[in-house]
Amino acid sequence: MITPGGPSALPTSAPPAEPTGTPLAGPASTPLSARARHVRLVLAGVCVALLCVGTFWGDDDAFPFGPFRMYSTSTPPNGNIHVMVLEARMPDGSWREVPLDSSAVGVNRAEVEGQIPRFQAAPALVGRLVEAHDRLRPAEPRWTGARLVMRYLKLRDRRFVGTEEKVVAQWLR
Amino acid sequence: MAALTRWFFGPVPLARVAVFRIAAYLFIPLDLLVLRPLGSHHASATELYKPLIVAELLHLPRPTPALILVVTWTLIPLALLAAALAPSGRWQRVLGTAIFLLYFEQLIISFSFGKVDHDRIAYVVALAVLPTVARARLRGEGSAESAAWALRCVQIAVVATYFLSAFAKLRFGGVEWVNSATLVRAVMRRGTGVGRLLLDYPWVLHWSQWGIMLMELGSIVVLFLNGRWRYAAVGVLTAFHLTVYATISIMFWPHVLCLLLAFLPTERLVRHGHAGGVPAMGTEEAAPGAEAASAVPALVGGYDAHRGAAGEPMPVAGDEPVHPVGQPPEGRDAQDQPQR
Repeated sequence: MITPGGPSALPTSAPPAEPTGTPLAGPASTPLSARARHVRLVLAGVCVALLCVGTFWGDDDAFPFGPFRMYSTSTPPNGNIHVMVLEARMPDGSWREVPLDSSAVGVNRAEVEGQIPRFQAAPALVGRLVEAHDRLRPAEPRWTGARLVMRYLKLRDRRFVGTEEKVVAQWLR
Repeated sequence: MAALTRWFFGPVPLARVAVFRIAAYLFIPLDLLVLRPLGSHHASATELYKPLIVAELLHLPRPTPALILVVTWTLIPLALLAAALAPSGRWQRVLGTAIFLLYFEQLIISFSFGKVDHDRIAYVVALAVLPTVARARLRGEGSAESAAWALRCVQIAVVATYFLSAFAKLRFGGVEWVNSATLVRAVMRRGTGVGRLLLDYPWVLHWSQWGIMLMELGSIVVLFLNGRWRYAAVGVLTAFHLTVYATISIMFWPHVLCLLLAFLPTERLVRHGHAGGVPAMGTEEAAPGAEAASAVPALVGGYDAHRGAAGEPMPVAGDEPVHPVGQPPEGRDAQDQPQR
């Protein structure tokens, strides 16, 4: 991250007492001292270098220097598209698909998909989604359980041909 | 080295920084309350916190509903205050630094729940570098090398978002990414009505992947364009984001804000109002949507409009030269060459 230069760190305002680098601009422009320029160049260089390192060797947890990996994976033209869905058990015992959205359960679909191994290892975490729903949507019926279901949308020649589903984690109140 | 220094520090009008500040700081309440109110939602699910490396390195506290609330509601009034004071340039370094630190903390919390968005880097860089520019007033004249460096950093971050994402695709998706069904996946997962129409024409989505890869790899050129070529490139990139929004409902709001404000001579909006008696522009440049709709054509048109029949520079009322008459910018790489 580029550090914001405070007045003490980056002397930009006062004309430098020391001889400065070659001014780049005419009289209407405020030049920087040679030192201020060097500090800025080094900061920019370090940040660009870290971003490049993160792109090739880091992952999302290296933010702000992680790779820009949105939609970076390949889905084979004859493969499956994975979509996580949330199903909740209503007070009458029926199961219903509900929004996997931060306004309903505190986190959104992409966030849950980013933590699938955690939910598989500790299905009780699904209960935290149910409790978040209790807090965020108090006027709605309280769910008596919930399950995360991975839906596989099957492709043939890039066209949708069918669906399969598999339960990833389940929690009952 | 001299060319690099010229490229980084070719002076830029300070008014452009003031315009950037107003828009960037007004974006914060819009972001936290409307576009991405994740903080308040995450407060209901803090058990799902999964810290980023930076949070552990800095020993940041595990987020609690109270912490999320405090960060959010300190940030919003500070951002509004900074935007209100930006035209005068007062308190910008102190307020700007505080806003950067708080927004960064807010993002770290927000990205610690399993998903990192990639539309924020340029905006975070903007918040980091804006406080390094002193004495930037909306109606002020003159330019500064500090402003040039700040805007150049934002430009680099904007371009890196495209350029480096091409390498992320090659790393995670392999060379076969261009021939995969990734855009079919994007549309099937979150396509709009318009986007879903494309599912009947999968070859369009297939070849779009080639177009995206070429655009991203070629994006680095934008850093070295000037004048109408730069405006054309900004137009193409903006059109790309609008197309993505229309088809899969993903919009890189803060990124597009930085794209427009770091690459376009927005100070001309203010100068136009100054000379022509048009009402103050403080609200117009603050609205990124309005700017996208109105500023770009005006600026592109302005390029030709300022030329004489023989291509000679012509003075235009209200459009004071950045460099005093008789003081042309030094070198072809000067960042803010007058567009006349």
